[in-house]
Amino acid sequence: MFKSTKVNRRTGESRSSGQGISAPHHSFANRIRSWRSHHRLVASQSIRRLIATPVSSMMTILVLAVAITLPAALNIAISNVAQLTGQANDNVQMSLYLQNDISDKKARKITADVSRWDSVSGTRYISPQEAKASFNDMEGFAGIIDSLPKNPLPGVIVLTLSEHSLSSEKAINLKKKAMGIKEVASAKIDLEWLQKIHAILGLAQQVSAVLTVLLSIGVMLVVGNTIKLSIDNRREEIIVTKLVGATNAFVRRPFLYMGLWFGIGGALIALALISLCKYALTSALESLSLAYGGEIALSGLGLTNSLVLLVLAALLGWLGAWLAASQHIRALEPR
Amino acid sequence: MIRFDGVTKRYDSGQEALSDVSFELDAGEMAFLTGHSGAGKSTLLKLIMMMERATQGEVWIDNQKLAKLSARHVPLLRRKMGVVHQNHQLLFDRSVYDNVALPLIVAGYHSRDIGRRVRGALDKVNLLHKEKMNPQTLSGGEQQRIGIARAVVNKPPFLLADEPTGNLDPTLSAEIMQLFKEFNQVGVTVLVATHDLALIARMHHRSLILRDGALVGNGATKMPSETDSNMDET
Repeated sequence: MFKSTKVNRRTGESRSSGQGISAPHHSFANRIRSWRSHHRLVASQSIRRLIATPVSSMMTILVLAVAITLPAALNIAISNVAQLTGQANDNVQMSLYLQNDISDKKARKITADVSRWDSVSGTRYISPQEAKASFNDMEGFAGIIDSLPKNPLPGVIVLTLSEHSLSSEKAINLKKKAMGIKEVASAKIDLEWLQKIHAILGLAQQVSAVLTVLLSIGVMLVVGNTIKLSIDNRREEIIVTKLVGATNAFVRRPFLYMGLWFGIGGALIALALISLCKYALTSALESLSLAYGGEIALSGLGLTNSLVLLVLAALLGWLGAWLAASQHIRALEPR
Repeated sequence: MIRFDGVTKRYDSGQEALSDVSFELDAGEMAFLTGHSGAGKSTLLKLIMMMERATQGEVWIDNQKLAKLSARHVPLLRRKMGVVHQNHQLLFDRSVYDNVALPLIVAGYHSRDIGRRVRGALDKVNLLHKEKMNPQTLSGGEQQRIGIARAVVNKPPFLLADEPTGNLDPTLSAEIMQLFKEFNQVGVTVLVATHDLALIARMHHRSLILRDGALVGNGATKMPSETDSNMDET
């Protein structure tokens, strides 16, 4: 039944020389080559394993995608708002309402004086007549002012402030200085809403940071739990592999790749979801953007950030898998 | 070389599986490990494979003290040993070929070498024609031979077998033993745990006899008839 004559030919040849007492050793280059080929093998095998159970793999990937999309979308929303308010920063204005009965000539002189102030980048004088004309242009207001016995609108000097004057202290000083001119009845600076938005943005950024950290932990836990189940399913295989001399790193490898694929899969779906959201919001924003003079363009994630997201998600998946695998595989010893 | 130096193994349950066992097996030697079930045969093999660690005493493999071996080095030790398990420990989710290839993949062999060696090992146990089959579909004897092919595929210096003929008929058992003998003839140190005394008597090799965890016989080729009859009862 057994081919006893083959012993010497098959196994004897290499044994007879050194009795084979040392572990099989091969050259360093060979080792690296086989290590690389094992990585390739394990990488493709772990993908095939994921495809073999499409429903459960997809469920995990979708959970990861949602967990990745939430903080990413929030960050994009915040950067969009920050961009919008950044544009607003460029043209913060202060309006000086003049006393009634100031002649145009006097008003223009004040305008010229004010334009020489520091941190004033531009001035424009709107005479009561011009104000009345633009008021009349507004829908529903036409004729109202004409029906009054006297034009109630004062002359206004609009100052455009340079960016450096935007700190509240400087702005308040500027306002005081303007109020010092006796022809100026009142001064109004539209900075307060900007400050509020900045405060809200700051808060939103903190919330987003906390959310990012929490959901990153979530991603690791989801991957870790899935990997743990996978390890439990392959318990027998792991024990037998360890019996024939596998290191923990060898046994861990397919699970690490699985975590990596989960992370990358989740990130890809998340990127698709983000594009979808952007597409859906763009049409909704078009009407809003028309109302604001067509200046609002929604920015997405961009190529660099998309790549960063992909790499981070892959890392989180790998890390989650590593945490689960190193813990559970060490415990799985042949008994 | 396998050496036991006053080895005692006590399990957490308090049961003493081995008490003060000492023996030495030279490189290239073949020996049987025998005794009634529960005498400590499996425990002794587990100590060599580092599936368990000795409570007292020293186990030496190749001048290496196992007690000093860190967990990191255990896999390297196991690669030096082909082990034939009583319950085969085959994986039924892959082919015969992939089962036998496992020790080579684990040790990082090149895929070209793997094919050559796996076919060589399968040819040796006369199962080359079944390499693509699932081991589950094969008979108990064939599964045992796959286990042997896997144990010898990376040409380890040590071959351990735990009741390799446990549930095989006498003809198959004799053939399996013949196979072990052939491996021994090319320099492999072989230790076979078995209670098949008739088989041992025919093989003319050294026997280590365990009784209740103690080594009561070492070296005699022929079984003392008293021990013989004792063990027939169990």
